[in-house]
Amino acid sequence: MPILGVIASSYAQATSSYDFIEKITVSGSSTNSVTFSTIPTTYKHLQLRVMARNSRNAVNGPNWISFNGDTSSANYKNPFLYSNGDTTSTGSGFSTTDPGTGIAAAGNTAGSFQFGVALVTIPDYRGSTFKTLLSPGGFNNLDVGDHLSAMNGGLWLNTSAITSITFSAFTNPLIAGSVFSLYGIKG
Amino acid sequence: MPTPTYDLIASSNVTSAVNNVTFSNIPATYDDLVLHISSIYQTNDGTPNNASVFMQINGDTSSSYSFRVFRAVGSPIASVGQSYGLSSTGEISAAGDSISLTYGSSGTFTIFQYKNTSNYKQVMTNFGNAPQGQGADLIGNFVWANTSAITSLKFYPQRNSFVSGTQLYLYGIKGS
Repeated sequence: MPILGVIASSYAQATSSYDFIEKITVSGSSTNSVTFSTIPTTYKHLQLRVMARNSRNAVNGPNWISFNGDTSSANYKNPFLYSNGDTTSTGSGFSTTDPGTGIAAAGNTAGSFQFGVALVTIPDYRGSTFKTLLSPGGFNNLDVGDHLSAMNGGLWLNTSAITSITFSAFTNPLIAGSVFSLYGIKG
Repeated sequence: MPTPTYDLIASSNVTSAVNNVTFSNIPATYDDLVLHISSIYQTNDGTPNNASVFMQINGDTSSSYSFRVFRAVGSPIASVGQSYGLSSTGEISAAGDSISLTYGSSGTFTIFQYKNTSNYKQVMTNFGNAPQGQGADLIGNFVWANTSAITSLKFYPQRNSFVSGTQLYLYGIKGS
């Protein structure tokens, strides 16, 4: 006798320590960066949920995150692991020459309707130590040309509280339809 | 004004063997969806481990899913590996153990902008297990090549059935 599937149940009203703060959606064709400039000081951690694409002439087009207006590459360290390409390719890297920390995104030659995604967590964004982030992400170009799974780390060599966060394109501009959403996690 | 979110939409605790768990009538009031699945036991068919968990969107069984998985391989972890290709489902591969039910495991599907009709749906998967000394799929992603809003999600094991102990929790993340 076949075993039937089940319909999920137990619908419930939520309680949460996870708050939506702000969303920025790119429209038009001239947005080179987006900035969250009024970050509340009432949370312990921050998280950003990103779906993005930029104008880099490639399928893969990472974006940069910078804090408090600081785009000096001397202040950022970017370790990352990746699996990409249309064949077998895995590897790792460590960059110290970027104007921020990198996250996964799609470039301009990705197929129609394709964006990259990243989930960026910034623990203790108001703490007194250097600031770190962790960002799993990737995109998939329908098995054509390139696709990516990656884990990005990041370090900002600054002990200041984070008061603003800027996403800038690897190659300008960001593509319309890119969405950047900021969340606060209570602690 | 900040809006509390990460709302539990629905859950399913499997108490007897089932072929699948389906979340239907997913509300269109969120931006992202997150599905946590834990204790992914699959019935013992004598086949070695690393059975996948599949995710089917809106009942679509065509080859409109493309996936890539980045994994650690071996016992002890000896190398990195990957898997990719077109598929008729999205998946967390190597997500369960079909030979020993004592190896529970867990994973997460994160679905970005699930009701936005101007993008294909990108799903990020994170998973950690090491059934019988094998590796773990640490991060992966797949795309569903469709611009339709997601209204239902079906999860099912690669082999046989989910058995008692499997738990699935679906959350909604607001974006306004």
